[in-house]
Formats: sequence, structure tokens, C-alpha cells
Amino acid sequence: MKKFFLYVGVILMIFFCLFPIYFLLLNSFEPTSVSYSSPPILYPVAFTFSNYIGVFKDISLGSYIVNSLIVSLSATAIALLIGSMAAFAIAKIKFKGSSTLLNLLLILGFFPAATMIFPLYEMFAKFHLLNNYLSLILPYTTMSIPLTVWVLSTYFGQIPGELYEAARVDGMSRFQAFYKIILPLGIPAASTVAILDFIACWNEFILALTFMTKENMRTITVGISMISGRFSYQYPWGEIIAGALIVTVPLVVIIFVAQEKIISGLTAGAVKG
Amino acid sequence: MHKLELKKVVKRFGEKVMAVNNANFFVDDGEFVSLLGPSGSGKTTTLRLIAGLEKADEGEISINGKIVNALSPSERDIAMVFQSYALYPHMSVYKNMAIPLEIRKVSKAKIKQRVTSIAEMLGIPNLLDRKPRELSGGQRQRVALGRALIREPNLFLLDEPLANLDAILRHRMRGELKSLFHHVHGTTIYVTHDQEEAIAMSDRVIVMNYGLIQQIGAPEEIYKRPINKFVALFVGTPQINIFEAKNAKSMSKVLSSQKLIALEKLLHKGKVEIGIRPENITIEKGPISGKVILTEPMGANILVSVEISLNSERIKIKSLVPNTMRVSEGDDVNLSLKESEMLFFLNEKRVEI
Repeated sequence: MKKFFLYVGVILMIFFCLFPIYFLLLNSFEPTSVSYSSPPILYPVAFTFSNYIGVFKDISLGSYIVNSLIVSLSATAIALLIGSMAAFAIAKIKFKGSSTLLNLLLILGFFPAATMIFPLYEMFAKFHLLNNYLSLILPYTTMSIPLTVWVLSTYFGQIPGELYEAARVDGMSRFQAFYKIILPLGIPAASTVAILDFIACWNEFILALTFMTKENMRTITVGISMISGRFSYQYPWGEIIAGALIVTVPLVVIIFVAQEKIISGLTAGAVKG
Repeated sequence: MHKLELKKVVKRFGEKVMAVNNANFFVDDGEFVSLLGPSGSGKTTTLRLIAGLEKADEGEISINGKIVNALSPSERDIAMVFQSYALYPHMSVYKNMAIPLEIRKVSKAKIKQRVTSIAEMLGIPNLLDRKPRELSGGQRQRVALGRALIREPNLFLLDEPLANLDAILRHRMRGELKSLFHHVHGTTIYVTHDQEEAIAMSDRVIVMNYGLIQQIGAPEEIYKRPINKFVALFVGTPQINIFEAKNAKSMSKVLSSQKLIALEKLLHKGKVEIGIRPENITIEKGPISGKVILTEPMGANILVSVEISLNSERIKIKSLVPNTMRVSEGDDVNLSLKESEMLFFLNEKRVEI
């Protein structure tokens, strides 16, 4: 009986979480006229691909996706490169002020992006970086680093100190000890934080809207928000929904693929002397 | 020139804690030296200072006559076996053993030959493809040894390598380790809190307590002529008997008249204690009468605790007797203490009388 209520609860919960996605999916395959019907129709009526074709034909969704990928992947990679080294230094090399540095990073992480728009805009304008991938890669990297360092330094800190010491005694330089021993053991944490960084960059809107003014440089989030402006007679719900789903798919795929990796990484990293 | 020499080495942790206080000692080529002491005595810190994992606050550490204080662990050319073994979990046994050579850019063929021969020597050639997590404690320990033995370093540093093994394996590995490091003619520094291990394995033992070196000497010397009460109590199982000699009169049954005169003189200088190891006390015939309060069979021997009274004072004394002897709790016995083996401590320091 207890189990029965548990299952009912779980089913309700799943329904609650998945219903919006179902509704989006449903409407993305319906003509806009159906989406607008009141009360809303919760089952398939007319099936059409027109919304999906529309987003690629009417707006250049493909190039937005490419832009977003370039910017997000670059920022994630650079943040991971810099962040992992910083995290290693904080976790394994004794130096004065390492905890202060960590706290400072946390404070930086709380800085709302909106407050940086104006100075960044001025700066990028001066360096002719507007409408350049760098105008997003640079701030995205900066915004990703605090989380990266925090997660990785905690994880590296849990790797027994003796492993690092053994590496040093075995003749490795600090850098060798980092990339031959500490980094491979940190893969589970690194892949987790990479996903989080990537999602944050992929979803970022306000900086992308401000710094990428040329149509062909827009990222996906901005691109979708611009769909509505093209149609004067009716709000194109169908196409917006289709666009939103297309944008979400890469994230879902990444998480599913990476989940495997994270789990296998966790078992490989069974760190016990 | 000594292989390793420490001169006035000091290591502090924070303001107050003296982890290592003025350590002076040397180790010669091919020697097997133990650093022995209870936990917190500074023995592991001393080892880490030699390895370069800690920086000395004062003093000089030299290897082959060259001062190495400023050198990093990788520049000192030493090999270390950690208590937790510290095997690289993501690498196979082969790779774990090969990596010190790979770092030194030794050719692949030579690495393979070396790993194979060391693995043969340690009896683990069948484990080379495994990962550390698939190994038992004893096997991991061998791999850790292999990683150290793979090259020919200036020094082998072993930090309680047997502490995590079960008792039977620990005893077996003791002998194996000793012959192994003699075989490769390695200069070895061995940290342990187990005095039996130190006595059994070492050419010389360095006894430490509270960051201070108490005594340096050959195992027999440490055992027979401990420099102070701490060393006497710390080394030897079963533990040495120590009782206070408050006045010469009370010791008249224990000591010869010659020693009594000397004792009288000593008593003017401070607190005098007499130590005698259990194996130097015989039961049955002797001048001191007492009552058996406990017997502990120890295989070949029995440890017998006897309560005796010297003058008006009752003291408990332990005697080690062969297991052929019949004693049981409550027996009245007579003891004799071998005077030539007695140790005299004046204010905790041993003196000859």
C-alpha cells in the first residue's frame, strides 16, 4: 500500500515536470491556428512540419546554432583550461592567500552580468570586438571560471595529497603531476562542470543581444527572440516553440551522453590508496 | 662523505609546535636506518624533510655531500613508499612502476626489461595489467615497493610501509624487505612506530620523541643500553620493569653491597629508578618473595606478573619464563634479579654505577 502511494506520487511528479515539454512538443507540430485555440487542445489534431521548416527558412537558425556552439564551446574550453590549473594550485600547492583567492572568485561569480554590459560595450567598441566571437567568448569565460574553480578545487582537494607527493618524489614537475595524475583523476568533476558552464553560456541572452548586433552573428537565444518581429499579422507561436525545442535538444543530448561518461569516470576515479 | 646528513635541522608547525627539534644524524651508503618513535614524535616529518615534501626552517640537509634544502622532491633523486602506498589509481600496475622511468626519458625497451625484472623479484609478474583497485593490500604494497625499486635513487624512504598489512603478512614482509633492500644495496630510511620492526630490520635505529632525537645506535645497543627511561620503556616487548629506589635500605634485597653504596651516592643527586627487563628475572629461587597475580602465555614463554614488597612498598614486576615452568595465579614465588643487567636512571637519564 505504501508502495502504491509512492508510485502515484512519482507518476504525478513526472507528469508535472514533463507536461510543459509535452505541450511544447505538441504545439510545435500544429499549425499556429490550433495553438491559439481556446480552451487549449491537449491532443494532436493536425500534424505539420511547417513550423520546423519555417524556422530554418524564414530565419537563419542554422547559423545561430553555429554561432552559439562556437562561442559556448570556446568559452567552456578556455574556462576549463584556466580553471583546472587554478583549482589545482589552490588545492594542492601551499601558498599564502589561497583561500582568499577562492572567496574572491566566489564574489566575482555573484556579479550580475547586466552590470558589466556598459563598460564591456565601451571596451569592445574601442578594440573593435563588437560582432566578433571574442566579445562573447571573453566574458563567458570570465563568468564560467568561478564555478569551474570552485567545483574542481573541492574535487582536487579530495584526491589524497600523497598521490601528488608520490608524483613529485617520482620525479614529476608540478605541471607533470597536474596533467598526468591530478587531472585524469578529476575527469568526473571536470566533465560535470564543463556541462554546467556550457549550458550557462548557451542560454546567455543579455550580453549576446548587446554585443552581436549583426544578424549573421546572433546566437541562438537572441535569434529565437527575434522571430516574432518578422511577422506583423500573427504572433508565430509555432515557430518560436519549434526554435526553442531545437535549441534545447543539444543540451539534452549532451547531458545524456555525458552522464555515461560521468558515471564511468566516477568508478574509474575510485581513489583509495 | 655520508650519503645523507642532517645538521641542526628544525621544523616548526605554526609558532609553538616543534615538529623536529635540532635533528643531527647521518646515514651511510647501503645502511638501513629506522626512525622509531610514538605517533607525533616527528619521525614522519623528518622523513618528509629529507624527501623535500616539507621545507626545513633551520639547518642543513645534504645528500652525497650536496646541500639539498632548496631542491624540490623531484630534483633530489629519492624514492619513497607511502603508508597508503599512493598508487596512481588510473594506471595499470605496469604503468605505475614504469612512470618514474618514463619521466626520466628512459627508452621503452629498457623500461620493459626493468619492470619485468623488478616484478619477478617481488613475485608480481602476473599482476602487471591490473589496476590498483583490483589488488589486495599486500599486492599494492609490493607495487609501491616496485615503483621505488625501479630506479636506483640516492635514498629509499619508507613511511610505515607495513602498517596497513595484517599481522602475519607484516611479519613475513619484515624479513623480505630487509633482504630486498640489502640485495639492491639501497640506502634506506625506514619510519615506524613498531619497535620490534625497527629492532629486527635495521642496521641502526634513531629513536625520537617530541621532535627530539633521543638515541641513535645499533639495535642491541638501543635495547641493552637505552640512554634514558623513555627509550628503555619504548623499546622491547614485554616492556621493561622500572621501579623507583627511594632509599638504599629498601633495595638491600635487590642489590649487592657494592651497588648499594653507589646507589646511596646517586640518591643525593635526584630521583633514582631501576630498570630490568623481564627476561632477566628468574622465578623460584631468590631472595625476594612475592605472589603471582597474573600469567600471560606468549607461546614459547610465559609472562608472569608478581607482586613483591620492598620494605613497605608493594610493586608489580614482570618476569619472562620458559613455558615449561609451572606457575599459576596465587602462587607464592621467589624472584632473583640479574644485577649485571640492571639499568639505573637518575632523573630519567641512564647512568652507569
